[in-house]
Formats: sequence, C-alpha cells, structure tokens
Amino acid sequence: MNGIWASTLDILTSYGSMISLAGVGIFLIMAVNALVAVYFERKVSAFMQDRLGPMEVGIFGFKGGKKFWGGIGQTIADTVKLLTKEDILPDSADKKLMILAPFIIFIGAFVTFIGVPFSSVLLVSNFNIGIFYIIAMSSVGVVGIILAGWASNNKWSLYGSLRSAAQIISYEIPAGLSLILVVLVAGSLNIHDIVGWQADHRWFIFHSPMAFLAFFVYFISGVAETNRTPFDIPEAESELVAGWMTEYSGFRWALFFLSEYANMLIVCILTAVVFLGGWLSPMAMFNIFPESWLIFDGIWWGAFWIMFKAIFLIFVMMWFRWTFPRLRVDQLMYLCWKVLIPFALVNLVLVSIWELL
Amino acid sequence: MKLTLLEKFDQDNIIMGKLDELINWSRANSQWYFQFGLACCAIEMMAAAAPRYDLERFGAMPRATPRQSDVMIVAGTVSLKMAERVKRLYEQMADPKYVISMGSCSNSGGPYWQYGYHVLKGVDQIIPVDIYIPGCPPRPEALVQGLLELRVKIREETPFRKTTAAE
Amino acid sequence: MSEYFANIFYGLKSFAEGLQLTMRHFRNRKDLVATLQYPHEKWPIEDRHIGFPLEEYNIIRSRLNVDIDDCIGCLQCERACPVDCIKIETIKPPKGSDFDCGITSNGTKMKMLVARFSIDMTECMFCNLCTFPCPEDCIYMVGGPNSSKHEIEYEYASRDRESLIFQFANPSESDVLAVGGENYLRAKAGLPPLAPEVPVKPVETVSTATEKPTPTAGEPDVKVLNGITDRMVRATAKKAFMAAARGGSDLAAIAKSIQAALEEAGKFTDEAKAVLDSLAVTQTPTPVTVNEVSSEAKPDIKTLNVLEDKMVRGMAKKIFMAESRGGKSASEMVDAILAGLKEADKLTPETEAVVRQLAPEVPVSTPKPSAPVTDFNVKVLNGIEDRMTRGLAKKAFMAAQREGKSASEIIQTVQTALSEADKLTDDVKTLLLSIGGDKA
Repeated sequence: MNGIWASTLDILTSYGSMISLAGVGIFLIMAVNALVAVYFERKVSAFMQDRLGPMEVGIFGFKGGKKFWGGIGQTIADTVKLLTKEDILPDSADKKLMILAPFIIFIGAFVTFIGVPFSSVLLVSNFNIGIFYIIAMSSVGVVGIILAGWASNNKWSLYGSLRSAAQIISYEIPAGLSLILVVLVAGSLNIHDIVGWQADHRWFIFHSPMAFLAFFVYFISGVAETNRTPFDIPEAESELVAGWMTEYSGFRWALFFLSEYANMLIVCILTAVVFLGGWLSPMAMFNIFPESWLIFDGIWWGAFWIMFKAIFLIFVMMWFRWTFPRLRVDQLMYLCWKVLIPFALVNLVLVSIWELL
Repeated sequence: MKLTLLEKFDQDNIIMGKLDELINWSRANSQWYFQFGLACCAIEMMAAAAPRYDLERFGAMPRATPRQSDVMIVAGTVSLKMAERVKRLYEQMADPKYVISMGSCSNSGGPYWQYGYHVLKGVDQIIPVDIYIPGCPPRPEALVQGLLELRVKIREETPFRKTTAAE
Repeated sequence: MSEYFANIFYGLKSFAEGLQLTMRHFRNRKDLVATLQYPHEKWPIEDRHIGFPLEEYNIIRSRLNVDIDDCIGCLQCERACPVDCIKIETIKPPKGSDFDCGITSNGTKMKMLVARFSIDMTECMFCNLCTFPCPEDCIYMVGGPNSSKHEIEYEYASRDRESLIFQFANPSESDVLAVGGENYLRAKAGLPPLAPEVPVKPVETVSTATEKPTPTAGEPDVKVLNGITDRMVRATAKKAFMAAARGGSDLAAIAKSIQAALEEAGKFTDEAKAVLDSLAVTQTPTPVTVNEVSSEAKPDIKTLNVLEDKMVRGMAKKIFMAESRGGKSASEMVDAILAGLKEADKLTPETEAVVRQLAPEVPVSTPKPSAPVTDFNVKVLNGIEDRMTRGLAKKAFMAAQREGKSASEIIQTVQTALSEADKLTDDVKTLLLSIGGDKA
C-alpha cells in the first residue's frame, strides 16, 4: 500500500512539478508577450499615423519618456481594468458555450507552445513530429471561434465567426504546403533537425528561390491565420462591429485578445525557426565561418536570436496592419485558393526538382 | 469597542485605500470610449482622435461595441427615434460605465430646445450623465478636458470602502 | 492568364509602395508627429474672419461673457438670440424715485436695474449674433480680440447641468427693493405678489358695463355649435356666430348669418343644418332668469368675458379660478385679479371696471330688456363690419372717452380718425350718424 502511494506521489511530484513549471512558464510568456506587444502595437500604429500613442500612463510615476516612448504603464492599466469589469452573459445567449469558447481558444494557443522552441534547450518538449504538432494544435482555435460566434446569439457575430473559420481553414493549406517544402529539403519534422540542417548548410530562405517564395507564402498565410489586417474581416469594426467578439466583455475578451497575440508569436517564432535560422546568429547565415568564430551562438544567445527575429517579424505584422486596407471576403478567398495555393504547389514541385539536381 | 476584522476593513484603512487607488487608477487611465457620434459633434470627436489632438495618449482606445467600452461619448443631437437605441446601448455596456455628454444638443436639446418636436431635450433624460461638455460643437481640446475631468471624478470613487472621505 | 499575372505583379508593387510609405512615416517621426500634447501645450484659437476689422467686432468662437456693470437692459441681445437662451429681467425704478442705476463705462446713463441675466450655455449655439446689437459692447466672446477684457476659455466641462447656466447679474436685495421690485423677489421665492394700490378713476362706462349681456342660460351660446364634428365647418360657423353676436343681433339673425357664411364657403352640411335648427329652437331669452341670475352676489367668471383683449381676459380668468379654488370672497377675488393685472401692466380703467363688476356693491336689478338699449358705449361701433375700420374707430372712441369728451365730440373724433386713415366709407358714415343722431 505504502509503495503504491509513494510511487504515485513520486510520479505526481516529479511530473507535476515539471508540468506546472512548464505551464506557469508558458502562461508567463503569453502574458508578458501580450503586455509588451499591445503597447508596442499602439506605439507603432501611432508613429505610422503621425501621432503619439499612449503617453500619460506610467508605473509609479515613471512614464518612460517625454518625447515618444512614454506611457509604459498603459497595458497594466488596461489589464487591471479588464479584470474589474462586469461579466456580462446575455440572456438569450448560450451560457455554457459562451463560457467555454475563450477557454478553447486559449487552450489551443497554450498547447501549441509546448512544441515551440525558444532556444536549443529552452523548450518544453522536443517532439519528433514538431512541425506537424504545431500546425495541428494551432487549428484547435477555430473551434473556439465558431463557438464564440454561435453562442453570442447575434447574427453579426455568427457571420464574423464563420468567415473567420473559413479564412483560417483555407489559409492553413498554403501554410502547410510551404512548411512541407522545408520538411522535404531537411528530411525531418523535428525542429532540431531543421535548425541543424540550417546550421550545416545555410538559412532556408537562401536555399533556393522557391524557398524564398515559400517564406513569403508562409508568412502571408500566417498573418491570415491570426486574423490580422489585411485579413481581419472577422473582427473589423466597420464591417461587423467587432465580429465574433462583439458580445464579450471584461476578462473573457481579454482572453481572446491574449490568444490572438499568442498566436501571432507562435507564427512568428515558427517562421523564424524554419526559414530564418532559428537560434543561429546572423554570422551562421551562409555557413561560411568556421565553428570557432561563432561566438554569438549558444544557449542564451540562441534565445536572444530567436526572440529578436520573432519580434522583428511581429513588427512586420504590425507594419502590415497599418499599411493595407482590408481585403473583402471574396478577395481573401481568391487570394488563398487562386494565388497562394497554386504557387505553393508549383513551388513544391520545383523544389523537388531542385533537390534532385 | 472592539471591531471584528471585517468591520475594520470596512472603515478607512491603508489596504483598502491603496486597493481603491489601484482600481481607480486603472479605470481612469484606460477609458475605452464607445464612439457614439450622431451629428456634428461626431466630427469633433473624430478630430480629437486624429493625430493633432490625440485621445489615445490618455489610453482612450476607440471601440465599436458597447460591451467592451467604458465610457460612452454621446456626441450629437439625440432624436426621439434614436433615443430608444441610446438607452439600449447604454444598458449593453458593462459596469462600471460612464457617460460624457458632448455638445449642446445632448446636454439639453441645444438650439432645438424650444421648438424641436423631434429632439430629446438632453440625453440626461434617459441615461445618467457624468460630464457635460458645453460647446456647439466643443473644440477637441474641450473634449479632452472633459475626459480629464472624468478621470478626476473616477479617482474620487471608492469601490471598496463603504465610507468615503468626501461624505 | 496574363491578366492573372499582371494582377499579382500589380499587387506586389502596391504592396511594396505602401510599406515604404508607412516606414517613411515611422522613421521620420521626429518631424512628422503632429500631436499637440493638450494639457501641457495649448495653441491659440484662430480668429474668424468675416470681412470686418477684428478690433471693431469681437468675433471668436469661445464662450460668452457679460460685463453686467455695463448692461443697460435694452434686451437687444435677448431678442437677437435665435435660440432664446438669454433671459433677462429688468426692473425699472418707479417715477419719481431717486435710485441711481449707475453709469456704463461708455458714459451712458443706466435707467433700469438688471435683476436677472442668465445665459444657458447648454442651449447656446455660439453663433455670436447677440454680440453685434449690444450698444455698450458688454456681451462678448472671451479671448481673441477681447483678451484684454477676459482671457480665453473654451474648456469648461462640468459634472452637472445647473452649473452651466451662467447667472451674470446678481443685484443685492436692497437694490432690488429700492427700485420697487418686491414682487420680483416674492416671485423668485414663490410667494404670491402683493396687491398694489390702484387709483380708481370714475368713468361713465361703469354703469353701462353692468348691462353688458352676460351669456347665461337664456342667451345664444357659441357652445351649441360644438355639435358640428367637422373642424372647418365648426370654425366657420363659430366665426360667423361671434361676428353676428358682436353686432348685437338676435337669435334668428345669428342663425341666418351663420347659414349664409356656411353656404358661401360651400360647407353647409346637413349636420350643420341640424345644429342650426336646434340653436334656433332651444335658445329663447327669458328675461326673468336674467334678473335672478344677475342679482345674485356670487361672482361669475362669465362677467369677465366682456374684456376684449385675449391676454387680459385669460389672465383675469386664471386668477379668478385660482382664487375661487381657494374659497375667497368676491372682493378678495377682485383685489387679487386687479393686483395680477397691474403687475402684468395690463390694468386699464375699463378693465378695472369690468373686474369690479364681479363684486358689485349694488345688486344689479335692471335686466337687459328694460334698460335703455341705445346706451352710449363702444359697443355701438360693433356695427362696422370691417375689422380694421372697427378697430380704428374703437381706438379713437376710447381715446376720446378717456379724455372726457361729450358724446357728439366722441363721434366727431372717431369720424376724423377714420377719414384720416381713408376708411370712412358710406355705411360707416351712416352708422356713425345714426349713433350720433340718437345722442344729445
């Protein structure tokens, strides 16, 4: 008797501590990402529109800058305010589904983080099917979106959520095809193998013109996956009042917001890992330097490089948002099915020919 | 008389006071406004959100849906037809919510107060208004000052304590 | 097919252009950011140019302000305001009072005390129309060209609406009392006004006023026509009724004139015919009842119907009803009505006489039929059909009567007045002669 209890306790503590440590770690990453990314987005959008973003809110009186970069306490104020808002569940809405929807989206993003690396050793788990796992798990969020739109009992929400579902499902195809191109060349789904290939040869983006094109196809599909402009028909203001998020208020909406930024981070990290060399420094771009010169590589340097590249890509995503007008739904679908998918398929064929040569 | 711990918490003390301040600070600095522009004052509200007089400096992000907004800026003439919708949208907002009445028409019917058969004489007949901004239309700086005045008002609230210093 | 590729190429080109544009704005933010950080920096408001030199006209769109010490109470700004948001009440010191209202900064002597000058900023639309007519330049928009008088202010948001009603005049109570404004203060406090002392001037019309026909049960009543449902028909019939009744016609003549009017307008329906027939049948004058009714001491509101002026009549009746609800006696009622009318500046001797009839000191025992019908009062002029002529004639009549002229002189005055106005037609002349002929 004692033995069984002792061993279960043992398992619980060892695995439990690992799981909870990982869970807390991932949650912290998501939260900090949301805080910083939201502030960054508001500032970037402001500068691109010739104005200053949040400037007056500071932490304990420290505003962060007089000329441009003030207002660093803004997202903290937003978060605390959202926590203290009233929780409205409309009378005619489906309450259980409405409560469930934000959690499903959050879980989708959360679980995807398990396979996402932050450095060569800073990752929760090194799946053998890493890339496949990430793509699969990031699709769980669609269920949450559809539930959110349906449960709101609001026709505009339903429109928004169905459009969003169509968009996400459609754009997974070119994304998947581009990633398959990489897997084809590297020969494995494992992320370590892919980065290893890049360390041995060169960054994927310089592998062949087809891979260059695949980078763009993947990035655009990634932007569409996360419902960002120019593909933000589902949550556009003038179209559908806030789309599928209309009836959500307070902390439930904050969960949606958090998941959206977490998805952005996932897409950007994946792009960085697969196409831009992951945790390799720029000196290893073309594999021209010998091993001893690569002083900017290592565990912690690796983390820095991944985050640097990911943040740069996030900036590019925000840049897209404030540059392009919104695409209409039919234009969106045209772009996916008639432009990106043919290109991705042709790309695949051409790269296989390239590999054979 | 000895008070229980709960009773002590109900009175002014530093924990509740500081918690009040934190909540008030977060609410005041992150007023997301529901842009309810109806008429000419809407142009001035848009001008206030434009780069010249930026409302987002104070954390006021425009939201299109009442459920996610804190303050409703009623900008423009409220006709009787629209008044029902105004009430409905006000009820859809989540607590804590505030209302800023911008311009003469929503303060008291404005130039239509005497003969306007189609105008609601002041939006405060249907919803409780926190700040009145006079002007026809008020300049964007006046709207910004009204928002700052609202922040001052929010800072004086006491969501946790039952006794207030003002009372 | 080539269009497909052309579209893609064009798309990519505009993609790159757009990104360049925003990146340019992002990188040049030190020069391109256009934000005024409002509470820390304020810019001056631009002046309005309307073609006049700015020093002469105080045009800027900020907030109204009034230098109340300069206001002479001319009410020009109140009249000019298109939305009636300015409300001014002035009290004029009575004749012979030595109250010094003051002098404006332009040297104009003030003749009235401005007791209330309120501008409701929530109604004002800042159109500047009130600033032009002011003869003393005391109402102006602050700031801009008027910065020397008041600095600019355009942000004055408040938490409640009452503080946006600006009361510019606050005279001290002693000043108000000194100009004789007790009733103003009492009205502000919600108290009824004091009864003023009215000197009663003896006029000949007092005795004749008692015989004015009081529409009791025996007289034709316009209310009978309420049976007509169609609004237009009813209105036409009532107009004809009143015109005929003023002329002193009897019932049959009234019915005939109504019928004539309706037929002329093409509105003589069967319903109207039925009502007219009932009018002729049921209403028969009974002299006995007239005696009884008019000899009662109970005051009847219908005695006030004699008053010509609508406003005066309405006011008097209102006060009557208020007092009768309070259960006052007839003489108290009379006092209250007289006081109310005096305060509204509408008390003429004739009106007063009518009001006093409510509480007659001597019982009215002379019924209408036995009284001399051809008594000389303004009602004889009711024979004149044309409104304008009738009005002029009556005005001249009253003026002459007030001066105390004799009957023939009055007729003479009326005649001259009408001939001056070119309205002395033949039938008017014959009417006047008939009236004058009867009198000595």
